[in-house]
Formats: sequence, C-alpha cells, structure tokens
Amino acid sequence: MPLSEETRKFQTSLADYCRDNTYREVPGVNSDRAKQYRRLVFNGVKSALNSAYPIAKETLGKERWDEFVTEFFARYPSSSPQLWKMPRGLYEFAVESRYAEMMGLPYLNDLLLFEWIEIEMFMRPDSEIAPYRACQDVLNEHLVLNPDFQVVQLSYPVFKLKGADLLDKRGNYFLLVYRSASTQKVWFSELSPFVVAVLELLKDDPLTGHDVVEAALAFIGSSDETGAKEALQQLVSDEIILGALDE
Amino acid sequence: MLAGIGLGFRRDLADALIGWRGSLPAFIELAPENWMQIGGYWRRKLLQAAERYPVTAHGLSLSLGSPEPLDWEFLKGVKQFFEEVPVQIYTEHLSYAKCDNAHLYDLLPIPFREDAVHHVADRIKQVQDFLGRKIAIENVSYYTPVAPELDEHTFISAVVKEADCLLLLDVNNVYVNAFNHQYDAKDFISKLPLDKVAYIHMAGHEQVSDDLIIDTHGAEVIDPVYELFEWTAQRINPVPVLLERDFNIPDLEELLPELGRLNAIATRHWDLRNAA
Ligand SMILES: [Fe+2]
Repeated sequence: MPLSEETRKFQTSLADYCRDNTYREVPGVNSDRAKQYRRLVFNGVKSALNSAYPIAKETLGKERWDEFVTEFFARYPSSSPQLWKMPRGLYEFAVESRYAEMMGLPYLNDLLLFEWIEIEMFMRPDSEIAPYRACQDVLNEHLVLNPDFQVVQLSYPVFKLKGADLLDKRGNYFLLVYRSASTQKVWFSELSPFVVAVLELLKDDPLTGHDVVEAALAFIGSSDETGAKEALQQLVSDEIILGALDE
Repeated sequence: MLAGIGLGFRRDLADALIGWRGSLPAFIELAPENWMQIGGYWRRKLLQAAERYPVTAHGLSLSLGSPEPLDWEFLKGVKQFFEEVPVQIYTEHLSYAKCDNAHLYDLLPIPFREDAVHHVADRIKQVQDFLGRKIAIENVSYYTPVAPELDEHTFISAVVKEADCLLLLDVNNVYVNAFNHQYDAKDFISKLPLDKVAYIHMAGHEQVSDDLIIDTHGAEVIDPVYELFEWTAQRINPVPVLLERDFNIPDLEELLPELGRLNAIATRHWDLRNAA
C-alpha cells in the first residue's frame, strides 16, 4: 500500500523546514521541538562544509560563509547518501548559481574546486596498478605511472595565494593533484608543460624513460634533454612515477 | 553468532582499535556510508580493523521511511561493500533521512500512521530480499511526534511484524523518548516484540532543558540507562550490545570502563558462551 498523500505531505513539510528554515504547520508537531530538527540537520551539514572548505570559509568571513551555506542547503538538494561527498554540492551550487560573480570573488569556484579535489583524491577508490619495482635505470626501463592523479585547470593560483592577492593573477594554471602510493597522502604540484606531456604519454602505456623524454620534448618543442631527465627523476622521487614495470 | 560488547568504529579511534589487544570490544560497528567505495588511507585502516574484529554495519542513509522509492544504486553499493567486508548484521533506523531525493544526514521521525507501517514494511522487505538477509531496524529517538494515529510501540511492533525483520533495541533512545514524551520506559519495552531483538545500542545523551533530552551520543552512558539495559537483558535472549560514541570521542582507554560495565551486566544475565 502506498503512502497516503497526506502522510507524504507531512513528511515533506518537516524535511523542507529542515532545509530552508521556513516552518510549515503539521498536526501533532510541537514547533519548538521541530526546531531541534532544523538545528541538528543544519549543524551537521554546516560542520561537514566547514571542515571540507577551511580556506573558502576563512576567505568569505563568517557572515558571507553562513549566508552561502544557508542558501546552498535550502536550494541545492544533496543527492549523495554519503555525507563526506555532500560538500561537492557546494562547489556545484556555486558554479550553477554564479555565486562567485555575485560576491565579487572571481576566484571562488577555483578555490572550492581546489579544496574539494583534495578530499576526493584522498578518498577515491584504489586504482589497479601494473606490477612495478623500484627504478634502477630510469631512461631504459618501462615506467609505471601512479594512476591516482588528476590534472586540474584553474584560472587563479588558489593553491599558492589567498584572498585579494589572487585578483590580478587571472591566467591558465595546471595543477597536478595526486595521492602518494606509499603514504596515501595527497600532494599538489604546479605543472610544467613537460610534465603535462609526460603524464599524457605514460597514462595509457608504460614507455621507457628515453622514449618519454624524446616524445615529451618534441611535444613541447624543446631540446633541453638535461632538464628533461632531471624532471623525470623528480617525478620518480615525488612518486608520480611509481617505478619500473616488473616484467 | 556474534555476542559480547562492541564499540562504534570511528576514525578518531581507528589506530587505537587496530592496535588494541584487549578482549573488549568484542566487535566493531561501522556505518557503511562512511567506508564503502573509498580507497587510500582509510580503506587500509578499514581492512586492518576488519581483520582484527568481527564487524557489524549500522546504516545512516538508506532512509527506510522516505516517501520516495528506495535508492537501488546505493543498495547495490552496500551489497558490494558487504562482499568486500563481510558484516555479521546490517541494521538501519526506523526513520527517514532523505525526502524528495534531498539527503538530510539526520534521522527524522516517521509519522506513526497505518499507511506508513505498510509503506515502511514493504521497503524493508524489498531491502531484505535484495540483500538476501534479514535486517534489524532501530527505534530512534524523536523530539516531536508527527501527525500520529498510533502509539510509538504499536507502530514499531506493526512494522517489525509486517516486514518480518529484526529489531535493534536502542535502550538509550527508549530512555530519551520516555523522558521527552513522558511515558514509562519499561512499560514501553515490554510492549515491543522482544523475541525479535537481535542487537542492542547503548549511548549517552544530553539534557538541554527541564523537559528535553537530545540524543547526542557525546557523553557517557548514565546510570538509569544501564539499569534499563539490565532490566531488558533479563527479558531477551543474548544479543550483541554496542556502545555508541559519536561526539566528544575520548581515548579508547576512557571507553573501556563503559564496555566493562556493559559486559558485567551481559554476563550476569546471559550465558555468552552459548549465545544463540
Ligand atoms: Fe542507536
């Protein structure tokens, strides 16, 4: 037997009140007690957002942050059963509602994305990795890339500057976000065109260091082989290249 | 079958629990929502903990009381998770945590009404069929009734009967509700289908005013709740008992006396060697 329209309406009224703080009369409900639900629900959501976005919270300041979070929760239905994924919605809401423009904070979307990506990278399911061992001779071995990485394109360098310092820095920034295979921690690094090319080349197939350097240099139109080899070695030290394919 | 006293598996306690060699807790309880479909650091901690302890699952977001259809994508994920991390029992709340497909991440009270009984029981049956196991549903604490036509105990009993499911009896919730809604806790418990109790929750709460207790899970269990548990233990078969601590989480050592006290009560009334 389906739920009656009336019962459904009562349930919706209470849930909507929890989301938008506009009280709707429901028979039998003690409105003072109903307030506890709005308080508990909203506090739970807000504290999850506070810990997901500490920099955005600080940048906006208490009043604007509260308003932002309140609007978000009232207007943007959270579709994930997993609370830790809920904060992603704040970023989506900001993009869809053009909050950045409204607040005169053109870097807000980038900042939210940057903070969210860290969480997502930290939590995301483990990827399958080809069997590998420590590199002994980077140039002559087939290199295995850490699959837990993402390249994010940003218009503001929110990963190194804050607040008003960002305003005149609009440009094209490529940020590498990756999870260490040994410590499981998340790291960021600003990408050079060479590294972008290396990641692209190694993404699908393990190539030898030689082939990678050659192709990446050709791709970016450079002949700095020494610099390229150093950069490759650095990728190994940073665990972006995990090692050599264990054949 | 699992028996003894368990503890909620929280991230703050993960390392302590994984390294702990004591006999209590006898098992850990986790929320699948917080541990499914993840990798990296916490996935490793989860697998270490699951190696060390028997695991039970206590869901948060299935939202058995929602007006809308069940979230099958989510349930598939839960089922998959249980294949990776086998759990002794899966419990959920007799409440709703989502409405019109917007999650609230908290437990709202289902109206105690006849149509809701059938609606919720039907959903529980669907879940049980899909997972191929019985689930236990928990009596939740609530701060106001919503358009009620039935008593709370009538509602709970009817759902359990119609769904042919098990009951997670949260003794603290009974205490909280009895206080907030001015009824007798023992009388309430005695009216529940006690033969269906498969699991017990114990927790602390916070009295915020003369007439209101909020179920915070952020403090020690108080004496009257221990007493209510002891009274209940004499009326049911041995079942796993879980200490919930979700806020103000202290060091594991500080929770041990509470686990010990629960264990003393359990062993006083139940023969845990032959737990059913
Ligand atoms: Fe509980």
